[in-house]
Amino acid sequence: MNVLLRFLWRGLLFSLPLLALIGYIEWHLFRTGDSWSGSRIAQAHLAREAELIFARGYFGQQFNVDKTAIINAVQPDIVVLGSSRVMQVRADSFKPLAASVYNGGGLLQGIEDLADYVTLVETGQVHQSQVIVIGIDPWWFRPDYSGYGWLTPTEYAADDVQTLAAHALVWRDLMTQRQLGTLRTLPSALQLTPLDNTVGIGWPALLDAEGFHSDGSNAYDAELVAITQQDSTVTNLGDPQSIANIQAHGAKRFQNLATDAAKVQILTESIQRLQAQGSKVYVFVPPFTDEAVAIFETDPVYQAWWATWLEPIDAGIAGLGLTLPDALAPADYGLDDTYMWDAIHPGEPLSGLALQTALQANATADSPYDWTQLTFTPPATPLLINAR
Amino acid sequence: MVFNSLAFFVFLACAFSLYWLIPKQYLRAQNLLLLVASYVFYGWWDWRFLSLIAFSSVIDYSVGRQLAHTKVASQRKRWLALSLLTNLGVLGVFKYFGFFVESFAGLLTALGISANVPTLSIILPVGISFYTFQTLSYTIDIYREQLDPIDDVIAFFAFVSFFPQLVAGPIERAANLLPQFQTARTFTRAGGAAGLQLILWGLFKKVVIADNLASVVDLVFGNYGGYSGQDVAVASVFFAVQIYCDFSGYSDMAIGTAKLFGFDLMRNFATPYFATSIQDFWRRWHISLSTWFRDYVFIPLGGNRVNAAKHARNIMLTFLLSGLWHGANWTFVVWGGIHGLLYLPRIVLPKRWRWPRKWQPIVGWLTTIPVVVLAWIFFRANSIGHAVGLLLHVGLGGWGTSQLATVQYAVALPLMMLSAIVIGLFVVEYLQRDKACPLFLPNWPVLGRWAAYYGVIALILFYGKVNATPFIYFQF
Repeated sequence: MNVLLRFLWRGLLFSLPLLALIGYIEWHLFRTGDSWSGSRIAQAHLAREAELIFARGYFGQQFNVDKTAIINAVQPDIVVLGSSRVMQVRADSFKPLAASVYNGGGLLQGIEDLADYVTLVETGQVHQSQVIVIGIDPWWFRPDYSGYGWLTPTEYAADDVQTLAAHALVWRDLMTQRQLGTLRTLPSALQLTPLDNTVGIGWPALLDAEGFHSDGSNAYDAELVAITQQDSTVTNLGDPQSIANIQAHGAKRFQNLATDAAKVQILTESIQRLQAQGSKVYVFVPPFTDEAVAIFETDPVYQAWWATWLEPIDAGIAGLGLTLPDALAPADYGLDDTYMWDAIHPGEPLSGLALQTALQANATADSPYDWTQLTFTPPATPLLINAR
Repeated sequence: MVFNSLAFFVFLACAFSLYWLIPKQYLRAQNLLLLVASYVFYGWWDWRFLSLIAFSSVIDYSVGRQLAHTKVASQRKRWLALSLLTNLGVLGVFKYFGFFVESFAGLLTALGISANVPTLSIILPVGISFYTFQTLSYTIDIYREQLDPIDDVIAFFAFVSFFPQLVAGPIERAANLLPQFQTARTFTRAGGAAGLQLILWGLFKKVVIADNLASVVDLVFGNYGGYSGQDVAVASVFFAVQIYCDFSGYSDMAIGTAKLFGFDLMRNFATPYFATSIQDFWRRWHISLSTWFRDYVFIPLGGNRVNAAKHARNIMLTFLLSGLWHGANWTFVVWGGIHGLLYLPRIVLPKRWRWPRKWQPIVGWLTTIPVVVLAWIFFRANSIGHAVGLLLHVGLGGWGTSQLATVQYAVALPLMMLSAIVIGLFVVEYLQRDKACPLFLPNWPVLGRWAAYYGVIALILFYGKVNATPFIYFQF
């Protein structure tokens, strides 16, 4: 046994520099909140009343884990679901209604993810909100397009942060990218972000105020925010490549566009299942830029599809008593492209307006909220509701 | 569970700690712990196939006992036949059923007969070729009265399923490994250190060299039409290095892991690409398999103590079977056939035709290794047609231009640096060729040794592919 102990002691001595380095990295990852689990982030949301931004820098973008954990912790009355195109919906859009709102933007990367989300609600794994608003994307209905599959009962809570393998990858990233020195200078979690009035969890939040707001909406980084404040006419800030992708029929989204009846059926069945659970469901299409819509209307590749893609969806949800507003671009709301972050992501004011239009078009007596009371009007700032 | 995963290292730390906490006089308890650990290790992949290992173990343990108590030759043959039929039957069903059915259907179609044969979609259990051969050596050796059967059922089951070498060898002989389960093991500092050095070196070869080269090889072999003939030739050399680093890396880790538990496994690789003849190559490559085929196939067929024609037949049969052992595909059979053909000149040509002794090493190397690399193309290809296409492309696909820069993104380090590391590997292996592991540095000062180990660790951390790619030989 003495031989073994001496061997282990020597092994420990040998490993000490490496273990010290790993310990140093882990300490800073925890200190910055980068390695916090989804449930810990959710608890921080509950504990703080002030604005909070969170974003993991090194453990990937696991919206599925973080946002479902927060929905379960906060238990919002209204939840907004969709892709990154609904991430700009702010809780302020629902004023003056006294309801708690959470933006689940990013959770749905395809129509199949919606069906998975409904299963989580039905089985009690995710909180059932009174109102569920779904923002849909046209490419979700393509026959060959599918979601991430990350909201299945086994995947939705599979938190990378809790796996040794993910930590090992982060150690290696930090060592090889020579960012160990940066770690030391980072502020701690729940410190003020560069925006002064918000606290941050995670490296990007603390350094750049980038990530998700307390209401789940997207927090653009401080540099982008500063640009919008200096020049309100600038466009394509969020993703300058997105309009080029549309023109080139490129990226995964803009190829083989078509509306598949089976995919529409997934949407209508999901809505029916949520209605059967007692939730009120609304559907809307987040706008594209006028420039993008003009391409869809005139480009021979898109023309036929664009003219008809909404018809089966309209028909499907009409059978469920829902109406889809026929407003797909800023011009339909009396605004222009400066109200868009880029070709496919509306700014916060336009998102609020699109949402309000959809809710008011479907206002009924049995709604839990009187949508006609919504008084949201777009502010002069085209991209952000609140000057931060 | 694969050796290059974090799960394995956690498992290893737990198994190692619990194992040495058991006092060495409780040998059966240590063996039981190894047995449980081995079943956990294998069950991690698919617990259902544990029943196959248990089945083989029960049959061969029972056959061994029956052979010991039976002196009647006919009965002994029947018991041996039971062992052979069971193990080769399991192997046949799980590994070769689909291959033979599809080949038969292909033959019928070629003869103009419409074939509608049944096929089954059967999962190939990991390591089945390895543990069935290992347990077969036990019953055959008892039948030949070269080995006494074992009474200790736990020791026997642990021998069959011993996790360090369960899924990809070395294929141990019962005569070497079984006695180690029956004698007390003592932990020694030298053994422990050698084990860790082997594990570190094996991991380096796997995740830094083999897995990075695999990214290039997979892209080029998957779409060779998009690359020049020169690129395909380079990718073929890369595959030769990849499979060596992948498989020998596994063997090093297996031997090193066994050492941590006080076991000595046989050496499986001895710098094979420094071989100066095909005979020399097979004395250095996958030694545990080549000696298995030598002892249980080649020699029983008559070996080399027959006339040249029969000697040549025995060589070809042994290599064709060895090729088929690697996988249920004609590509492996052709690969084995090429190696068999390489043996023939030495058998059929007069001795005076051989190169002068002083020229033999360099001429032998130059005539052996390129053909070995060429044969690897068949080993790696998806089909005979694919292999022929690759070979033709090497000749006709153009030289002097390269599209390999397009595969750069798939590799964790620049191709030039990867190539430099590969050259460095062979230089180090040559300098340390008399040692089982290049990291055995007994005459170096402690700080120098530790610096060398940290150098290898840094290469793994910086350039290793850490997504736990399975070892190539797992599929066999």
